[in-house]
Amino acid sequence: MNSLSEYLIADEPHYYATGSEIAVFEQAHREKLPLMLKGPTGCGKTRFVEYMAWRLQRPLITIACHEDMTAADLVGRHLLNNDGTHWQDGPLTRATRAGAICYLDEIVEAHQDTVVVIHPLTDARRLLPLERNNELVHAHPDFQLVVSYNPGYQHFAKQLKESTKQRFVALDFQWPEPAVEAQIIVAEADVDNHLAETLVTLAAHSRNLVGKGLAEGFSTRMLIHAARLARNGLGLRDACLSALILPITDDVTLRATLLQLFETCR
Amino acid sequence: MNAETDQIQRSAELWFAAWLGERASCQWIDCQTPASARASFAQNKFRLPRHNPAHHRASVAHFYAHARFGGAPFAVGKFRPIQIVLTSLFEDARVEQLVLRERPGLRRLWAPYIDALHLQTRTKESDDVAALLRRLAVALFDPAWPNNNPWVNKARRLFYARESEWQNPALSRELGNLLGNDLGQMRLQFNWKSYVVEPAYRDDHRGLWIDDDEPPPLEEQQAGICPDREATRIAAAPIAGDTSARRSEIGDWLIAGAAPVLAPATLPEWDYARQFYRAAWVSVREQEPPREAPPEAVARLLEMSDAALPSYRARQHAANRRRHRRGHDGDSLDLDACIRNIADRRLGQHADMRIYRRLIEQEQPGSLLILIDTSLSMGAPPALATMADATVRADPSALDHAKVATLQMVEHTTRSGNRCAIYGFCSDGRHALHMAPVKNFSDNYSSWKILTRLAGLSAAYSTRLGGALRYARKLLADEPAAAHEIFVFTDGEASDIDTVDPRYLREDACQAVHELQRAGIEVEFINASAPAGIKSIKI
Repeated sequence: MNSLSEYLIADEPHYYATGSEIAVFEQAHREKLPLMLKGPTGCGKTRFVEYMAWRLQRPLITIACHEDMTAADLVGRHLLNNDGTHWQDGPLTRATRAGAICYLDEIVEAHQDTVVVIHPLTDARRLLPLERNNELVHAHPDFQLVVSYNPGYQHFAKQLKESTKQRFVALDFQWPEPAVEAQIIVAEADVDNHLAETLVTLAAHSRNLVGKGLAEGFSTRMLIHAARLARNGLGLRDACLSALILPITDDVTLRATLLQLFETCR
Repeated sequence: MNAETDQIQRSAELWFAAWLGERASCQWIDCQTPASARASFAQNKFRLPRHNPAHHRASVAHFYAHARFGGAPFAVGKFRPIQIVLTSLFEDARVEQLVLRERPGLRRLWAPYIDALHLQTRTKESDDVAALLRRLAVALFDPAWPNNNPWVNKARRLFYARESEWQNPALSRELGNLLGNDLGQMRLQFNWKSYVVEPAYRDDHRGLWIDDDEPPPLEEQQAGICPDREATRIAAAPIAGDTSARRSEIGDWLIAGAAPVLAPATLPEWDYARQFYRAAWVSVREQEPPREAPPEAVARLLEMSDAALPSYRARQHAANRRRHRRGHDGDSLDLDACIRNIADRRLGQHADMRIYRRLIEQEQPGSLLILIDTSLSMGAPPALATMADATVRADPSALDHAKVATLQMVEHTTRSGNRCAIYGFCSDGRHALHMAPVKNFSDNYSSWKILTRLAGLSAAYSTRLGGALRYARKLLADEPAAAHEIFVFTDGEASDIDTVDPRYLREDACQAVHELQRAGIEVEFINASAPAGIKSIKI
């Protein structure tokens, strides 16, 4: 039995609950139901999963999905050594055997053909067939699959298949209310409320520019980065430029617009 | 439009979107007298004078103040023009002062205009009403501004004494009424027709008023009335007996703001009979993006996209994948590479560890413009000949098929790293080639947004194909990608109400295709009305 003790989260992650998401996660875990988290990037999905893994005292294996990811990257593959080949479990198989929470971040980035490998794990069977290894892995009772994706900027092709979607219990994450988002920034970056509110106001403008040159507006995570830079003595203008405006776009006009918007915020 | 104007316009549009988001739309107006042109708004539609780029940022921030703190339009009632103007000035000051509490940085944006006005009041010292109104605008913006006119001081004192009531728009009306009566008693003449709102970044005040005691119906308030419709309604409203001349004057003022002078783009057209191009023959009316369709229409398209053309997606997917061998990682072991690896090791030689194989996507960078024929004939199901048949059966129309295929094509194109734009087109004679932008190249819309906009395209009018292709070429001209391609979903019937010869527009379309081919732009026509579904056609 793999213990996966290195994947246990020792310290409580800071998480600000905005609804019934903790209760939903706990019930889903108890009932062995897979969970889907929807929401824009940087709104707290991954932090929430970390918090729940800590709360439930389960190891957390996170897999960042991408276009080139294959089923073998999830379940495992044969490797070559001096004696021939041997089987190496992938992260999903390890989590399935050891009863970890397996978190597939941005699942729609993976090809739909790859994603179907999770189907037998996410219904009543809770099995993971390893065809290339001729093995059938029964999921540990504490195993739970959690996936996330951002429905906002994905292409139509990157929707989940209907047969995949309907296996999950879902939670919808959105940007927190301005006052709550400011509180999160204050707590995470240890800055005063006025600075946090200025950043939240600027973020609201950037979120209005989605589809006008920005794929996404400033995330809460980006705002925290800017606040942390400003906390240590960097001017707020430079902090916003480095943590918000420069990372999000290379478009000169858009950058100038965001900078001028910043100037109106204070 | 040159590149510099284009850049200024884009910058202003970004600024507008950042402040007002998707709840409002921005339109450009070409004015005959740029110096006195002012921005304007009606409900959630905002219009900016194209020729005054210096004012755009300040104007949009002022719009935001109205959108954030403004109330329902004031009813004209028995107000005289001077009271309308004064109420509007107080309203401008009220919403600006409120927004400055939240956004003190906006003072830096507006202050230069107030300073310029201040300078004007010093150099042109006069006590006519226009000069008093300029002074009032400065005094309300800046409570510390030194002023020696008793009427202006009274107005400022009253406004700032009731700061606790600034949240209530009725305050503006009350003060406008009161100060207007004072001016009346001073026997000063006010020439409303020559009056221009100052400072220059502010709107023309028309959006603050409605020439009717009755508020607009709730459904119109929610839907957002277009200025033209609103103007028509105002013009048709009954006017009370002895005030009819005054009300007519106010009605004219409101209507004048709803008729901007728009300059349409023009295109040439090929006359095959005379073998020459008719210069500036076709006028292009670029429309606003289609309204997002109701959920049931979107759901219908979604259902079609899953069921109607499953093989299209699979074919494209397969065509763009290739097997990559001899990789350091991959889906499975490459048997030949493994055998070579073992053999090399047994021979004591260096063994190549690239023993895996996988399927990878091929990339085809380029810019693709999809044109969708939205003429009336596209509204019929593919197998049916007429719209009359279509009303009997509820089968998906050729336009529906085109929308679904477009959606799938966009998904595939953008996924491959290509840029993509979508336009619907139809024509109502040569003076009205309607081009409806569903998505521009620079728009980074989600698939859902594209889907809802596509669903909002409806079938109407005729097909002036050649003009649409030439306009597409203009749209592609600024695209940086090396490869340009145009896909046209159509039923292949180029025709319009002002052409009798069926060959005329067909020949023009052929000529337009040759022009595109000479420019290195590939064109592919897809017959959306083929009974068996989507098929390529040659023109």
